Amino acid sequence: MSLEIAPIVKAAGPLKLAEIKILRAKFDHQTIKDWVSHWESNEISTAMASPEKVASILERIEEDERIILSEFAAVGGRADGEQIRKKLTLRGHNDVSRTMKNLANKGLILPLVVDENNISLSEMIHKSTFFHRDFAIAATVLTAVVSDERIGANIETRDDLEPQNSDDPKQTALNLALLYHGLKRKNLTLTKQDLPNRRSIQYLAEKLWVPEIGNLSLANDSELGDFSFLISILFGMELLEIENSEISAIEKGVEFLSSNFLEGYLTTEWWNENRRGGAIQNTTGALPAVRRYVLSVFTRIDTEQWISVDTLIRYCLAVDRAFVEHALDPLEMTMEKYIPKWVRAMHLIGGLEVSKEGTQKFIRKTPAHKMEIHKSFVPQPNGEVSVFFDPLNLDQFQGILPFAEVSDRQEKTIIFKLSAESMQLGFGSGLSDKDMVSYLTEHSLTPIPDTILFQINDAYRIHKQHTIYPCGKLIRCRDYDKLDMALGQLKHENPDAQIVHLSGDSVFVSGIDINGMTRLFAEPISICQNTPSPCFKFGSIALEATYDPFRANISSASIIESICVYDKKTRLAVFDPEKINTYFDGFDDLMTFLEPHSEGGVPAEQRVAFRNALTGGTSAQFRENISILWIEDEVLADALYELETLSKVLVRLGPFAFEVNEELRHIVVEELNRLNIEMENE
Amino acid sequence: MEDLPVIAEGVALLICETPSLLEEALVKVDLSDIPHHRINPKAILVPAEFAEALSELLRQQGVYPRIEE
Repeated sequence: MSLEIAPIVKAAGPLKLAEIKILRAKFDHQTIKDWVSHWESNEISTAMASPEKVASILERIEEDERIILSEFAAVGGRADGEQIRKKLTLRGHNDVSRTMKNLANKGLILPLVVDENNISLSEMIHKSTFFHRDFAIAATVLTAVVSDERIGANIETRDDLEPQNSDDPKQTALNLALLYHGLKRKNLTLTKQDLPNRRSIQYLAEKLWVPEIGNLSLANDSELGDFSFLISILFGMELLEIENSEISAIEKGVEFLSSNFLEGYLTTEWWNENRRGGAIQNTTGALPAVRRYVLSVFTRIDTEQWISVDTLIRYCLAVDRAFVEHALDPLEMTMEKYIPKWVRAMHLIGGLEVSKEGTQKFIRKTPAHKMEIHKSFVPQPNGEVSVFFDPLNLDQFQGILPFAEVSDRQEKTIIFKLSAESMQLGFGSGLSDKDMVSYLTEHSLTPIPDTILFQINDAYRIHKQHTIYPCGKLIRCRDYDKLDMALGQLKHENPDAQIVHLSGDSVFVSGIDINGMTRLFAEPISICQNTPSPCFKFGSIALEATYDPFRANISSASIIESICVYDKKTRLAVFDPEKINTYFDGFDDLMTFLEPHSEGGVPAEQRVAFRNALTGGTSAQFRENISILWIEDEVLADALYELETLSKVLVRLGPFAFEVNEELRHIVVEELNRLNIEMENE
Repeated sequence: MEDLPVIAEGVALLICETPSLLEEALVKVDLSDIPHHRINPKAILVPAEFAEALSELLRQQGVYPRIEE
């Protein structure tokens, strides 16, 4: 009979006798001799498949070797060698290469060879590629490792317990969905201690329902901790971001509820099981690895029944005590303290169910049937939608939350209300009335009442009454024909462009690049950005200018409308001094505004006119009986002006010039003489 | 001043179904901090950077505008 090796490599799980025999035939005489010596049996294949023989061999192995065999057992008996090696190294073990090689030498893990013959294991072990292949353990070894007393054999299981009343994995889904949608509407601000501000989140927390507590009231640190935990899960699911102590939701598609909450918990760096209270802080360290480790141990207990939390603790310590101590010691935690927190976290995300008997707590994996999908909405004529929790499909929440709000949440029922605000927010998120109706129809047990249909349709009618186009361009052209032609071209080149006709000469467009628009007109065009641009041209008539409103940006246009009277036919803007005075802080302020808005600037005569108009008229006069004193030296002029005698009679006109009354001139002359300053014309 | 076609960039538009709806909206919200220009009886223009603020002001007054992206 020919031996086929291919089925071994393809098959999953541990090695059975037939497979061990096929493998044995692949190795050379020396390798078999070594195995025979270790197993103390000439029939090596039979020995490896014998439970009694395996049990006696396992009695003699080291603790490190036992851990590696446990890892193989945990993944079903077969795994990539490198993966196992890395996994254990990451968990804090020293390099386990040597231990794995020892196990291979002893025939406890077997390399799965495919197309080689007469293989020397000792040569194979020394090659760098040794771990880059699949290894398997015998089925007998797997059974023995799993039932090993040191790693949780004889696990006491119970099948007569009932989960706690509020124990529903879908509650978690709803919690996370409500939190996410709540944070999409309003950001969460953290206090200086990184705690969620209780007052600002009260409205959100009341809608959350957590096991063993019910509706969160945030009355104590423990409840605040649960709230923060749920936030941290959303961080782990990459649905939130934080900036300047403000947490906000990242816009994601509606399918996020299909995401894995468990993965969110396992990876989140915003939760620390060792922290008291509800601080939301980024934390690094070994905790994510510990979470995965405990989960892997819990998963290995292949039972649908209840086990006690103490059993899980014992099991976690037995499988890899070195890792547990290495990971938890720096955090000043023990597995006994850590596991209850892990259980609580897993309970909150629906990963397991909890039951109590006396003071002892029992846990079990959440049965798969609890996640089954059914229709569960019952729309009521009063605009509410009741949902019975048991048969709830998680995705149903995701669909209704954008346009309905939770008005009441009990243990097994939840009531959504279609309020005007919630529906408008739904429309704002891109839903239409038809989307909402078809959604409710699809998930409802009963027909949708006419009142709800009317409500939705009416809300949508109101929603359509006001439209905002947040960013676009305004095209203005006084020649209607030219504008029409340009728009025709625009539509032809950009069928998806949004075009809103505002008047014969003005059109709003969005979704088009400016570069594509400049060539729409055969002539040059003026591009106006939201900065001041010349829209006035002053002529000779005081306080009047030609005004082109097309060239004024919006900010300027609103000001110009406030200070001018504009005649569309003549295109003349007449400035109103009274309105100018109410809008501007004097002449200088006005000029600061007008200069950049005027083609060629504001002419001098217009400046005079504006000055006159704003100050109520300025008079002028010739002064008589005045002499001008001119001092050539500016420093001397300054010094003279500081003299008490002269400062009383001189009026300074500039750096060199002073005005002096004829009648007082002699005082100045006397003083200058006294100071030995020569008067040239006196 | 030459009569050239003008393209104004960075503009947001609020347009209502009827002039009275715009009047009503303008009465409800205080636009003193938002530069705006009423371009026709049903529509106002604001600089694009004020679009979110305008939308928020309207929402605060119970008017939920449709946002056309």
